[in-house]
Amino acid sequence: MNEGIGAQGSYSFYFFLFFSAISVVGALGVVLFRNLLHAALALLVTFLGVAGLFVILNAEFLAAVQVMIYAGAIIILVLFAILVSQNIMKRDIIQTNRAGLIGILSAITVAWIFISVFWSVEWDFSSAAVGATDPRLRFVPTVYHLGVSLMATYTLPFEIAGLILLFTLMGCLVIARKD
Amino acid sequence: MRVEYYLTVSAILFSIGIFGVITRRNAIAILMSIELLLNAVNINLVAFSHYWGTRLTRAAFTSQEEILSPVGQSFAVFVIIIAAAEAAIGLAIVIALYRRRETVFVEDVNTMKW
Repeated sequence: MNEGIGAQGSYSFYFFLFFSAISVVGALGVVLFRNLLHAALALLVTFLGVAGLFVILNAEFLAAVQVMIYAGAIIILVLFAILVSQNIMKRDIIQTNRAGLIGILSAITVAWIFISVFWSVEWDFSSAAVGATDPRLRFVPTVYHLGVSLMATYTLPFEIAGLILLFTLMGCLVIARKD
Repeated sequence: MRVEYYLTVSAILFSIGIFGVITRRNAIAILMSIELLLNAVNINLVAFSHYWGTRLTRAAFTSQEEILSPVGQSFAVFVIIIAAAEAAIGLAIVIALYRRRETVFVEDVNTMKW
């Protein structure tokens, strides 16, 4: 019972390969490009790849939020920070003589642990939610249930997230002002 | 399609993000690698939400009404919110650091070392 209850088309595996390849190649670009602008653009490519993965996973609203917030706002923030903090001397041309070997070893270890654990668990989705097998609910977009649950069940985290954004805004203004 | 495929992609992105956090010398590049980590976690959450479907949750603590809620996607929304806030604060700190010290490399920020 590994299939789960989400509906997937017959070509979804190839779309999955396409978008996950885009995401992984973009991620490699983020960590390997010496030029910071190229790394920021590779990060943008990664965000778009992840948004594609969200669309395959029946989370189309989350894919739109990903494109708007990540690819639309956070990348702009990163580009502004790169613009403000340009160095005349390009010292980042120097290769990773700091901790390259430790980085590769820890990345491989973490990936190995995660992948071996994920593939060794007998995932059993046979007790999936009752309501989702209702045929009428097959055609309701997930954004409806997401909105209702954010307003009803998860109201407290929602309000706290709003407060966090308020504090973040004030904090950024205080930290980054000229004095 | 099995759920382990999505979890594998998430693990690969997470490990690439860890490599970036450890290796990069520019503070902005480290923040970008942290965004990679958060995106990997989001893929994980949304994959599980897809395979589990929407759950029946109570509408409030004090009510007996039950609503369907996609738990993984709700969690992913909050992760996106917190990631945006953290990116903003981190980049503000980097800008303030650059104004004072004329450098963005984390190895130059060592005044608190013994």
